[in-house]
Amino acid sequence: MPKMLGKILSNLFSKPSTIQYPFENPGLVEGTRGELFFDMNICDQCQDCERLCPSGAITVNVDEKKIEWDPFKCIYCHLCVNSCMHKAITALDNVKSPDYKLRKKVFER
Amino acid sequence: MSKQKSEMTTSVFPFGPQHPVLPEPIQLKFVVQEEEIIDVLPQIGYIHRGIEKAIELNDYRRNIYICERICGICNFQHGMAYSETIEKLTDTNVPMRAKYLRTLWAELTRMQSHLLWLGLFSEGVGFESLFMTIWKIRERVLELTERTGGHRIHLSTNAIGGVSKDMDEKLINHYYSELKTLRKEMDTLKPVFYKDKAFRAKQEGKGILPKKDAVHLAAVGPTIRGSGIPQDMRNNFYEAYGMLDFRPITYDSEDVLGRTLVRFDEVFQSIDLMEAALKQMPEGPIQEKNTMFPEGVAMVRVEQPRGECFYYGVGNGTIHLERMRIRTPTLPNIPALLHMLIGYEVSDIPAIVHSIDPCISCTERITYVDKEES
Amino acid sequence: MMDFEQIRTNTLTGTELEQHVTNENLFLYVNQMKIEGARFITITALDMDDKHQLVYHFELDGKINNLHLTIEKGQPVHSITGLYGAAFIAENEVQDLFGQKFIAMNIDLGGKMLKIGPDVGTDLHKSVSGPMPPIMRKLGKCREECPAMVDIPKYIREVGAGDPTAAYNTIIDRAPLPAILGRVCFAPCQEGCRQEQETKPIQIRLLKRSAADGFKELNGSFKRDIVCKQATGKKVAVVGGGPAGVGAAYYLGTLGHSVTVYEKANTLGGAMAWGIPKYRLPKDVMNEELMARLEEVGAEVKLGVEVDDLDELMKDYDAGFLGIGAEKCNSLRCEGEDSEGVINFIDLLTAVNVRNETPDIGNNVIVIGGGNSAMDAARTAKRLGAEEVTVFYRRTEGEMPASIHEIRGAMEEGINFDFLSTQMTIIPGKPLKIFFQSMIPGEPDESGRRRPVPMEGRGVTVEADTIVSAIGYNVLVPAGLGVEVDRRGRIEASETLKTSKENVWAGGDAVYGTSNVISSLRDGRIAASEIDKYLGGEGLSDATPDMTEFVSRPVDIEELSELPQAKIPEMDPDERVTSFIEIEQCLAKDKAICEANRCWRCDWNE
Repeated sequence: MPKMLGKILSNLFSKPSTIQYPFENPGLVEGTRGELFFDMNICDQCQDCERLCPSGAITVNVDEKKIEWDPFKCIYCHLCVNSCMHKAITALDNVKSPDYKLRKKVFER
Repeated sequence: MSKQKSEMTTSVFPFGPQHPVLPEPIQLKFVVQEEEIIDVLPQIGYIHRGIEKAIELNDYRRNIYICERICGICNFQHGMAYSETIEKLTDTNVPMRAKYLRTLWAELTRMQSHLLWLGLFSEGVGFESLFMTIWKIRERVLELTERTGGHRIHLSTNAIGGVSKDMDEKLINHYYSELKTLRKEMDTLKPVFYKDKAFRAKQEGKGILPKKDAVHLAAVGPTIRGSGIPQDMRNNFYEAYGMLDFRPITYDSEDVLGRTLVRFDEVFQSIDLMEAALKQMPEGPIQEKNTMFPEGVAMVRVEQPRGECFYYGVGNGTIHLERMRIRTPTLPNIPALLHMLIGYEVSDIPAIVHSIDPCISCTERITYVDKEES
Repeated sequence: MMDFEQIRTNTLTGTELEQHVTNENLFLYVNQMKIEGARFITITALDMDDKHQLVYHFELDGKINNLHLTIEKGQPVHSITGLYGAAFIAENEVQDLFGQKFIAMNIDLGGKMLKIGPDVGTDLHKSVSGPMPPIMRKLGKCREECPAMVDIPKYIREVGAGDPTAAYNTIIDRAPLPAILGRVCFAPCQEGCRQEQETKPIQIRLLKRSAADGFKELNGSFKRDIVCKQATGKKVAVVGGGPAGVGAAYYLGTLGHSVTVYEKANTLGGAMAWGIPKYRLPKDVMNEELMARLEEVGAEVKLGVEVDDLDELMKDYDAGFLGIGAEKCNSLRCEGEDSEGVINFIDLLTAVNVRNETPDIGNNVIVIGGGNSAMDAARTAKRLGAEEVTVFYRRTEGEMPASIHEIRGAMEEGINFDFLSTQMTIIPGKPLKIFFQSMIPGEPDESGRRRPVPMEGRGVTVEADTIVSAIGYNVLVPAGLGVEVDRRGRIEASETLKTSKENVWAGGDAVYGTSNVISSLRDGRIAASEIDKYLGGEGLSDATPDMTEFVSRPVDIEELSELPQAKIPEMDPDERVTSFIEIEQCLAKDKAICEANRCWRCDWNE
């Protein structure tokens, strides 16, 4: 009984050993593959990213110069980032947060 | 009042697709006679995804990502096996540094898989805090994977002709120190697995698979290594294993305990292999592109954490593949499982079913797709 | 369907054994495997339309042995579970999913694989839907900008591999004059190059020239050994020896027809002969290449023959092509334009380029106009000894239709420019006086450029020894040809370049007014294809992406982006104006290879 008491007291007054997620962010590890950003001022609609994408998440609208990116179809493999010759696609350093609707993102000039 | 033998009743109960102990859905119908298992009837096919058909519809470059998603836990080896098949079909040579990097990541994901299994097995036999401790060690491995590859589970660093990501000096030094810490943490678990009586009581003498039967039933992986036969695809020296000192680990006890200890020792073997590979890794390019479409026939066998995985690829000189046949290790282990279960009691079922490391999502990939819809 | 006889045997596990079996002796072979102690791996099934191909994989001593069994659909196969008990899972898979029956199986799971049939009746099953990523091959922006759709990415790769012969043949497939185009083409492909965004487009025109000059160096002349189609016995007349005419004659010759070219001047070349100065296109190169093309197909050339009556000519031929060009200079539309000392650029350039004369045009020359012909006239005037040459143009510098390369060359040679000035009156005398009215840009007209509006009260009177008018030229169709003309005097032709006469086609300057070399070659090719179809042939093929060709992108994008653009090797401006020697030289071989390998290969197909 006395041994238990000491343990109970120390557990009662110590910090929780987990990270309280919504209030504290553990931060991302360096090198994680994050969300995409398309810079439409540099893009010249060559459709290379659309042809390479394994899951068909990118749709290029050549006439109106817009790109539609579906963050829920994307598998974050970053093939498009590595193969865009003008470097118009950059990876941001946050991962896509959850959403309650399946929506696509549209990038334009 | 004692019952006559003829009055003992047999009943059939399903160890169904949904079960708290099972990690993945498979149905085993047990024919039981008062706590003793007489017969088992398997039923598989709950997670079809049509992967082999999807591989034929897409072009051969996108298929790496499809093949990676056959299984979540052994994903790197699937991607690696697919890349090797295409490299043979297109006559491409892989640079040396890429081979070492692939070996590093393969061993890292093997460690992650074995730690996951050890945790699940401990929980299956009732030791929940051991499960939590082992998974805490696994978290360290996952963070290392994320730092070097880019993602915790699906590394996606394989490419045809090499790898697509490199490691610099800082990362390699970090890798060394992490391996040392991992070794120290794994050493604290040794007394539990080697000596703890309560833990061993659940496993010793259960689920015996004699040597001859194991060969006849064509079991693979730690299932057969736990019966004393040194069958390991890494002995064929693919990738960089020829440069590292590698011997398969076997135990002669033919029971569940043997298989558990095989997997536990393989974790330490992985740490040794990784340290040796890091020391020997040469400088150089990491990818060499192919110069033709895949043509011909190629066969590749890779050692996944669960056993031998067989890839058979047929190419016809265009951008689509003709056929890709993938046979994952759990499929041949199922007949061995059926053989192992007979004669034991119902309470041994979780331990025995876990001991073959069932990864059923690997097992089913082919689909029967209606011609109008495909 | 691929032939399984040619099998590649290079797995890491050593060589395999491939054995073809039939349904009858399958059991014997499997029995032999069991006796030798082989281990069963799996069964693969391939669907070959009306047959199934089953491959049984075994492992023996570290080597893989395969047994291939081809069987008609619907015929059952004896199961091997008697010998290899564990094969029941593989056989069940093949049975359920390919519909292949097996007899005498040990354990029959009996349809336990989840079948996805036509109507499932539940939303839990998702079929393959949604947009699939497209599998296509793009032509490349350079190729899309070229009027003739020359396969530019392909010949750049061939130059980069050090093979000028293959590059030369690739270009001639769609544009038969590479050596000429490599010197004079206005290169819309370079403006379409995607690397223009980083201001480093590939020097495609120079690579074309190095392909042509490289071919000549290897073979001694521009003539190749080609095989034309079988002779059809039909005869075609081509009127006009310019780019449109020679292009049509070459393609018709390769299709097997017998061609005769009628040219009214004493040399072939048309507008290339009189219009392009010698410092841009040496006349011996031009003649050599034109004659080489015509000799390769065995075409007959009649120089100095002018065709007056087309109907009379067509009695001996089955079809005809008119490439008569344009030679009526536009008038200045100002007072005094008939004074002595006012010449048009066609007369000046023909005298210098064709007849090799050196007319005396005095020290002070004014050129009116803003196109390539005005630049040619101005630089020719400079080389003839004039000290002061000024170009007057009625719009701004940015709106000049001449190519930037030419304007820069003219400025380097010391030619002056005066913008926003329109000619109003010319006062005859020695020296001539001409009054220019200053203009300001007003409303845009139909071409998008702003129409100049006079600025009241501002003007300048200038003195000159010679005034050259270079504001454009138009078509003059002789009535004897008997074809219909539109309201601007050009030959009326349909989209397929057919004229109002039944078996006569037309192209080049004669149809479009002012055109350029590459567009005329395109017209020649279209007309040749149409004429061939009219005479019972199949015509020539269009430019479509070839999906069977393998083209891969370069690996190191970072390294590639740091390479600089190759510079055009040309003479010093001070040296240039003393003579009519060719300004540009060909790129050195290693520089050409380096420049060609800088290409991003926008038509990749890997």
